[in-house]
Amino acid sequence: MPEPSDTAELERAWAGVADRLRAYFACRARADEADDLLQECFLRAMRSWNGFAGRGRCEGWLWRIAVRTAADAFRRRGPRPAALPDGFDPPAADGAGRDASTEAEAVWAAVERLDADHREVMALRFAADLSYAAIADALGVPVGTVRSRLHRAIAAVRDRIEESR
Amino acid sequence: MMERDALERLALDRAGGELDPDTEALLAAYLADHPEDHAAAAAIEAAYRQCRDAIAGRTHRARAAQGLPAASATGSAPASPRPAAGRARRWLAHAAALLLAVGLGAGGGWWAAREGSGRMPSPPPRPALARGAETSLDALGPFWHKKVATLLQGRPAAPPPRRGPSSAGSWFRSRFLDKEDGR
Repeated sequence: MPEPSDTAELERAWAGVADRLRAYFACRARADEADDLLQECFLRAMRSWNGFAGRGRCEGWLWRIAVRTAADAFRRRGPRPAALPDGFDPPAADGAGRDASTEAEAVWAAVERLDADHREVMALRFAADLSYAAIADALGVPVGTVRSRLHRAIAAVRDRIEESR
Repeated sequence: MMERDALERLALDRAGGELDPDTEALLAAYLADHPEDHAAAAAIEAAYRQCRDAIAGRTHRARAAQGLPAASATGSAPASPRPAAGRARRWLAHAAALLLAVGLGAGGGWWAAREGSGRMPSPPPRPALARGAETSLDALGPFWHKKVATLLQGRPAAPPPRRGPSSAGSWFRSRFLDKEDGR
């Protein structure tokens, strides 16, 4: 591993994205797995820092590592939908709260039924709050592919919600 | 009429802030003239917002459910094993340097003893003292005078009895000493 003095840039970049990385992992996995994946992502970044340092944008590099970390974890244990109770409060007693919660659960259930590529784009867009260009960089695909996947994913969620009504 | 897929993609780009201002203005003008397309665009934009709110809300609530702080604490790097590893590396480096120094010292000493012992410069011979000076302690000064006097007082009156020579070397040495003593 590199010396601490060599990793100041990495630590700065990490501090800037760690929160969104965790949100991404929390969207892709269970809440209790998110921290393990975050730690794994950090260790991978530390291990390969000497090979990367000074060769491009550190943030984009971290996102590529995050995507690979999640993919490797799901390959090892198989994709497992995140459990809804991790993230959702029970429906409130009043009608408005119950409706909002039920709506959100329905949307999330529809998201979980998407295939891996579409869920990945949704997580990077909405949980990690990445731009199309950043998503394209993280996934190694053209921006047009990101737009196309996002469109298909949202259209599929919309259709499923309408079917469930 | 615009193709539905193209329209929805443009609407999603607009909802996500990915549309440049010129295209956004053109889209707004087009939708103002085509109410059916306006409804379709509004529907996909609503779906976009639903997905965004559901996913963002889920990840944020998951954080709150775990009792994690909001942003600052998780923005820092996770505790890494580097500090402990760095200390261990420093100790190892010090130990290696010490071993190297000891090894070099021992090796150098051995080499000098092996190669250079014959060429070691012998100390220059002492100038022979004049016979008179040899006996005159006063000429050496008060310090040496006292020193020599102390040595003479501590000297045994008679040399210890010698054992018989046990080897050629000790025999020659004893013979030499006997000659020196005038025996």
